Amino acid sequence: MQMKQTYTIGVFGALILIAGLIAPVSAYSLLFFNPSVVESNPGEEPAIDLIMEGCNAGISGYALYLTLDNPTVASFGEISFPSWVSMNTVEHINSTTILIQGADLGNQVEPALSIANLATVNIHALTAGYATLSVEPVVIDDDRNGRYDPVSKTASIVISGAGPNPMIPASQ
Amino acid sequence: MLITAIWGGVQAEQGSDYVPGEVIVRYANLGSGTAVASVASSLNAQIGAETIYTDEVMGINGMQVVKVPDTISVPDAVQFYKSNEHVAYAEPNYVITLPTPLGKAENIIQGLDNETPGMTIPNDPDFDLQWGLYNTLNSSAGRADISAPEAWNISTGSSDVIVAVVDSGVDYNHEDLAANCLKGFDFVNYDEDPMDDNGHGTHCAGIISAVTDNSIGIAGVSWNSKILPVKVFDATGVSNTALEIMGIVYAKEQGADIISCSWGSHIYSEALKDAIDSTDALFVCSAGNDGYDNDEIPYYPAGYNSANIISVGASDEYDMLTWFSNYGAVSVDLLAPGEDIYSTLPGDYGFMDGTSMSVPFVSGTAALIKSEKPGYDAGQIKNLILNSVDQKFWLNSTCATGGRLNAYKPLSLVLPLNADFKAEPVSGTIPLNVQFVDMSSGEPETWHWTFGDGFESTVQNPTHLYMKPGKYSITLTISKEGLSSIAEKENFIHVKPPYQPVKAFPDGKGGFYPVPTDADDDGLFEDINGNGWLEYEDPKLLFDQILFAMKEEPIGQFDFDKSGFIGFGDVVKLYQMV
Repeated sequence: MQMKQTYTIGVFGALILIAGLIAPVSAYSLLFFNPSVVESNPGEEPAIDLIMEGCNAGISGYALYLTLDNPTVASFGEISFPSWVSMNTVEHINSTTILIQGADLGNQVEPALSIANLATVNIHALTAGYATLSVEPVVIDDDRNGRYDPVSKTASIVISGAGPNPMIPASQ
Repeated sequence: MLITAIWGGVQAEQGSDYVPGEVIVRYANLGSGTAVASVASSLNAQIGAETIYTDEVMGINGMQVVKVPDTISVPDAVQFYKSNEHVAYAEPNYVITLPTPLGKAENIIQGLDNETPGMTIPNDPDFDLQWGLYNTLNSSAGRADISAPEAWNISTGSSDVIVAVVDSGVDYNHEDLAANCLKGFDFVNYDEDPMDDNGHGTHCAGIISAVTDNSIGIAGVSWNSKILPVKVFDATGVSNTALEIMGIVYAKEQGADIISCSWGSHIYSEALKDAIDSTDALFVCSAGNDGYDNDEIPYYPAGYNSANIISVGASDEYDMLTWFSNYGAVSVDLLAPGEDIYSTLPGDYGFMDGTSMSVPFVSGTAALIKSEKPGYDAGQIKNLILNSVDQKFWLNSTCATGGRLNAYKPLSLVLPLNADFKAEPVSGTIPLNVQFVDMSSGEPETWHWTFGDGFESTVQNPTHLYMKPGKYSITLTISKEGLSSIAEKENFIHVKPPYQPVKAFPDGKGGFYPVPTDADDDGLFEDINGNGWLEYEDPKLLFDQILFAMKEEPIGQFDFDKSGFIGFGDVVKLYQMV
């Protein structure tokens, strides 16, 4: 019984230790799309910027999953990167999700900046309907040996058609 | 020495190369002084000459100075004596003047850094004008001084060492010289008052051995050595071979260990060379101020092939040959500071330029060595000095050693206290326990170790446990009876992260690259793609496979930015390392 108690405390202590070893997390930050609501017509290709706010410790690089939840309405087009993202990749994970990565090799996004454009997402508007564009950060590292843990916001994609406009969920 | 004739002093006609009517005659070894006197008397009578300095006065067996009548020229008289089988050689009594330039320079004020470990900085208020001793003006390009503060940490000289300044005399009453001056002699006026009426000798004496750390004036190279003033140049800076020979012989008789000769000429005198060769003292001689190549146009006495002569040219505060200094890849041994040199003057202080000023830096350094190693002869001291110059490649064609005097290095070579150490192991993964072993000579009494990670020890042979990866520089400072010595080894201990197997990176096509390698053995596996070297593809592959690395690879081997985790910071750092 005594052994078990000791073991429990040991595991708890180890968790605290691991937590202490994990990279320091930068202060509040936010990932969002601009514009947050996109209205388009089939065949068009609107562009949406992925913005990070609160990157006060600079950015050394990031890896993010982007998801369009309704592939019959909209799909990913070209992903372009601002000039500071001097090394980048786009990997298609499946029909609705891609992984984008970028790194700031030139140290252009310095700690003095508080907002940065991470990428520009072009959307193929396919058919009338509604889709949600979401971002899930895997990792965003700063320039001070730290790591961000941002809050994410989605964007709503509305593709107009011959029928009535689709409703936009109020919860967005 | 006895004087047996009317004293001639310095008599020279303006522009003349020799003293009118005077000839130096060296007779061959005839077995006795009586025989020499007999032959000399006979020869002198034949041309009506009279002996003005006998060999007793000159101090060299068989050497006399004669005065020939006005009716016979000096060259003819020289030929007359040379033609006799009992005469080894005969030559005019050459006139020699003190080298030029001797101008005063403008004051140079330099800010001194605070005293650093391993240095002894004296409190003399004008020390900061003495760039030749400690030059902080151009420290970014390397100090162009003789490392005097470091030398003084080992030795400040002994009062048992005598340096003869054969020159224009010395102001023996000077506030910054008096305590170090012995009674000397004036061969110009032949009396016991070698007061300097020119200034040249006093300036040289101050460089050698001004009273130091006395809160007055300047510092000398050898703080405590004794100056023997020997006046052979008159107030106008003129002397002759006979006076110089008498001065050298006098210095020898007074027990001078070092004879400082800040003068010379392009005339070869066998008589002067004989006088130098007759002593065991170390002769430090100036290379001259003509801007000539002494290999082509010899300058004496610096250019004699005597084993006990050091020939000295002048360097400036940028470690360049001065514009005026003679040079010679064969005939000039080394350079020493010789421009804008601040030292004592009769009743005063001031600046002078010239190889004359370079000589006393070497003389003072020789005195420091002699202080530490009284048993060393002139040849040993000379070799020590010449083998430990600060070599500069651009000085290779200016002197045989290709370097400028360093006072510290020769002393460090004879220093009985010399710090050294070893360690075992010097490399390994954390936790790394290292055994340090004192290898010092001189039986130190205290030890002070710094291990590079903030920890220290005063144990002679300590062990130290390293807990963080990195390269650590070690210093050991030992001391004994006020002396100290420091040994430092940079990046000596290499502590690597705990080793964990690394995995091959995916190639994105279903296969894998070769396993990453640590080409430079620093514990970090910079060679991500395993091809054996670091190039752009490595940070690119790490970037592409960052999620794999974060999940699969050991942190320590890929934490290039020391963040404690694998991330994009490591990509950026690795990219910067390419």
